[in-house]
Amino acid sequence: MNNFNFEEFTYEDMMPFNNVTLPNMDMLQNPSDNQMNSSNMQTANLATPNQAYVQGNLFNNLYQGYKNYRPFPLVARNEQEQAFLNYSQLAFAAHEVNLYLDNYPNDRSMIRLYNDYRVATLEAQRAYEQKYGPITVMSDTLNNFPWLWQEQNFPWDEGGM
Amino acid sequence: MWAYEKRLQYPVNIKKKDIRMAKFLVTQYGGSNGEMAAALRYLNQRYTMPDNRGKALLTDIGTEELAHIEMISTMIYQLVKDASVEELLEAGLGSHYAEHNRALYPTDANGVPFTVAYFATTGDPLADLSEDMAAEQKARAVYENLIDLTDDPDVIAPLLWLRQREIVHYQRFKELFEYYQNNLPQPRNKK
Repeated sequence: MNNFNFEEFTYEDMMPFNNVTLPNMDMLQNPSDNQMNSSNMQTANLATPNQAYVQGNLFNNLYQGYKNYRPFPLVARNEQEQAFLNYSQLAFAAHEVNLYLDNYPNDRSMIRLYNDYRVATLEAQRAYEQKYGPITVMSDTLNNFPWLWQEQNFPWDEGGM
Repeated sequence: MWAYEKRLQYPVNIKKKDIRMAKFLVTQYGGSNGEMAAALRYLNQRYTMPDNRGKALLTDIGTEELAHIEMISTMIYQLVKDASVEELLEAGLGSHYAEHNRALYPTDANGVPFTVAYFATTGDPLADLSEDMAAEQKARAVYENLIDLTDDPDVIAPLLWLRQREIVHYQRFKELFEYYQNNLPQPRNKK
């Protein structure tokens, strides 16, 4: 059982998600600005990688809750889950900045942030793989006997990530 | 090309069998507003986007949708893997069992098989992106319907997460739509 264990859930837990800054949609409503220099506004509204991963959204100003549900905290129960969570949340943060930069390729500070997350993601991936096995077939850990690709379960099976 | 990562984009670990929920959830696998339709829609439309900005966004969101197919598939698989034939019959999945046993098959919640007729490609970036924005909103609405149909937190957590992704993708498509609207030469869809 290596999957994350969601924290004990009760309906009392389903309170409004209150960790959200007020929407600041100014730049999003001014797409005619070709330069789309929105870095100050964006970075001010960014969640941490952990918060972003939990809520499924790096951009607090874009977050929209549903009813009175709030995002479920992800709690790692052991070192492997912690290493995996660390990798997944950094990869998610990098991906979110990637989608943003597709639309705003001239945002210097977000390019910097992308590269911070990118480097941290690669490091976290390598750290996970060295201890627990390959996530991709390009992993250094596949230079082993026997072939490690089948060692860990696939994500849909018990123990898979 | 694509490279596989042996992990889910967001964890799914459903411990409680729920065949009825699987029957509803399958629509986000093979239904008109599902993840398969989304992935194929964007990855198919991207070739005729007018510039690399649009090609990048449709490629990157389309790629993420492939990961969402895997999450939804995992949820369906885990909800039915331990079901007996009697339980499948009771939940109205007798015909599914006859055709597919417990294997996954992309249909909507009524069992209608997936079809590419669920999406369009006009070659007009504004028309295509309008469809993409609508697709994200429809998928968000369906995720909300699905959340209403269960009280299992193991199911609700990934559904809330996937719903949030629809909101982000909608925003990105909308930004691109407005950018093209303001910047493409007229006639706006001619290269």
